[in-house]
Amino acid sequence: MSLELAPATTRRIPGMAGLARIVRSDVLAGIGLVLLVLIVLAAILAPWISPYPADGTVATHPMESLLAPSSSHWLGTDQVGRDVLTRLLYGARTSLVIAVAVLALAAVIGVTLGVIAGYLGGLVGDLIMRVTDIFLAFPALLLSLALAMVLHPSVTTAIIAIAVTWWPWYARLTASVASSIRHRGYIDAARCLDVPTRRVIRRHVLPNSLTPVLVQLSLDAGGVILTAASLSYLGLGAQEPTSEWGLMVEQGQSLFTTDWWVVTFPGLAILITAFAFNVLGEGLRAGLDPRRESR
Amino acid sequence: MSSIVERLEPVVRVRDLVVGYGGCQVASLPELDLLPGQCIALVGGSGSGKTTSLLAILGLLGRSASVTGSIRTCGVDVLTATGAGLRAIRGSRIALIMQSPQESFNPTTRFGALMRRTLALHGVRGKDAEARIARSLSNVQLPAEILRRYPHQVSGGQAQRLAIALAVALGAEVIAADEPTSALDVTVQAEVVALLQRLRAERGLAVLLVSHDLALVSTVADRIVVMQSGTVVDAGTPREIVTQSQVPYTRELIAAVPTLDGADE
Repeated sequence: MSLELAPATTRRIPGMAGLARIVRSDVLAGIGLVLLVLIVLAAILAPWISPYPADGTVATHPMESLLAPSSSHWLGTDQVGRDVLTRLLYGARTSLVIAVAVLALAAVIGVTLGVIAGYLGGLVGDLIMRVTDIFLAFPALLLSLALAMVLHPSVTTAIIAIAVTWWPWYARLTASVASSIRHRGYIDAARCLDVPTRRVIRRHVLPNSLTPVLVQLSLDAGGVILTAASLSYLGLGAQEPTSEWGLMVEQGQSLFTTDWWVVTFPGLAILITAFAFNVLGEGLRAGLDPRRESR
Repeated sequence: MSSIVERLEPVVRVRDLVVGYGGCQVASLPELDLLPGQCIALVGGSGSGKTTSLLAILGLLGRSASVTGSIRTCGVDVLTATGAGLRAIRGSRIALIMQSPQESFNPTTRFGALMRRTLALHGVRGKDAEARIARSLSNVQLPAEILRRYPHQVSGGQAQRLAIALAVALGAEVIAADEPTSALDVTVQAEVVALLQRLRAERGLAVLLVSHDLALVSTVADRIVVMQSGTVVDAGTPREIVTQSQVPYTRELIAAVPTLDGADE
């Protein structure tokens, strides 16, 4: 056998190089990534790039209400005269913060419980998974609604309410992966050498359970933004004067036949963001499939 | 060689080993003495009890197995030893090489980290560890560059040699190899076998080889133990087994060896 080795560029947990490889080979995932970068940039730069930064928060201009799109207001104005483009850019901040916070909470709780349940199995595993099942038994949106209603409606409330319904999916996913690898050779070997359980989980079970979670996270981001928009739309999420896309849709819906721009643009923003996350997630799923991995 | 080894203490000594699960006997090994530098092969088909015997010698059978007899591995009585007693010999004195090494390595750990961590678990750290790793890699003729790789980035033969390198780095005296070459193609098989032979000669490494491949083991083993349905049916030197054995099962195994290409299935 020769001592030549294939170039060491691929890994299972994708770094920047892995992401670049996936995006290069998958046009749709590339589009998703570009869209997401633009949305994130828009959110970060909102105070500097929006035409009327004050409109993003508290300012109102009753004299300029419901102006059609024009050169001074590219996407028109809403009922109280705020620039729709400005509100959209500020709304990106709210939506992204909600998405990131919900997914971080759900993933940390779900993955921790899932890895423990999947690796340990037995009574502890059963207990964790039955609690997970109880949470899964409730329709997600209904549970979120009930929680958001009990707590005081706000962005923080929306984050908690959505995270509570989201973590069980991660627990279940991680548990199934963890239980499938708990009898691999390297884990048996570590146990034979009396490596503490916590270290076996941290070093061997966790890193090998993360790839599907990563893919699920990017697939779910769009769904979280939609759910947050639904809560806001029903008045149980973000409150005035916070800019939030779901809230904007709710406020604009009655005006659709006369002043279409108030509802259409935030709706499009939700659609495009959810689309971007979804195609990127699909790309990651295909790209991280070990069967497609080069040697 | 035999005149020298006969004066040595066996590193593995088995007497009257019987393994059963729920009252059903699955493997028995009346006698086995593995001396330093020696290679003994357990040969047989699936379910012959050869792997079970190997796991018993390593003290790796679960609590559901009932094991009787006596097993002394590297000076430790395996059947009465505590967990700490077994850990003192596992890895550092007797190492297990599995059929498919790529699946027994953590896919998210580079080989360098894998070797460093394993050595650290056995109390070898820092410069000493690095020196041992470098030495063992040159021993198995792999470039140091391979330490930066993940298990899926090396070939089956390289992974198997890395597993052997790890055993060498830990200073193991015995390698227990469970079908170490059946997942490899024929030329790579020959390389792994040659490596084991060289380590035996250079370091006095003893090898306990489990295989279904009589053609392969007859070229490397000093002694062959043929097992069938959990019992030993034949034993002897390769010459005795291949040319003189009258045991029907042994004759069947010999007849099953293809004559042209040396590969069998």
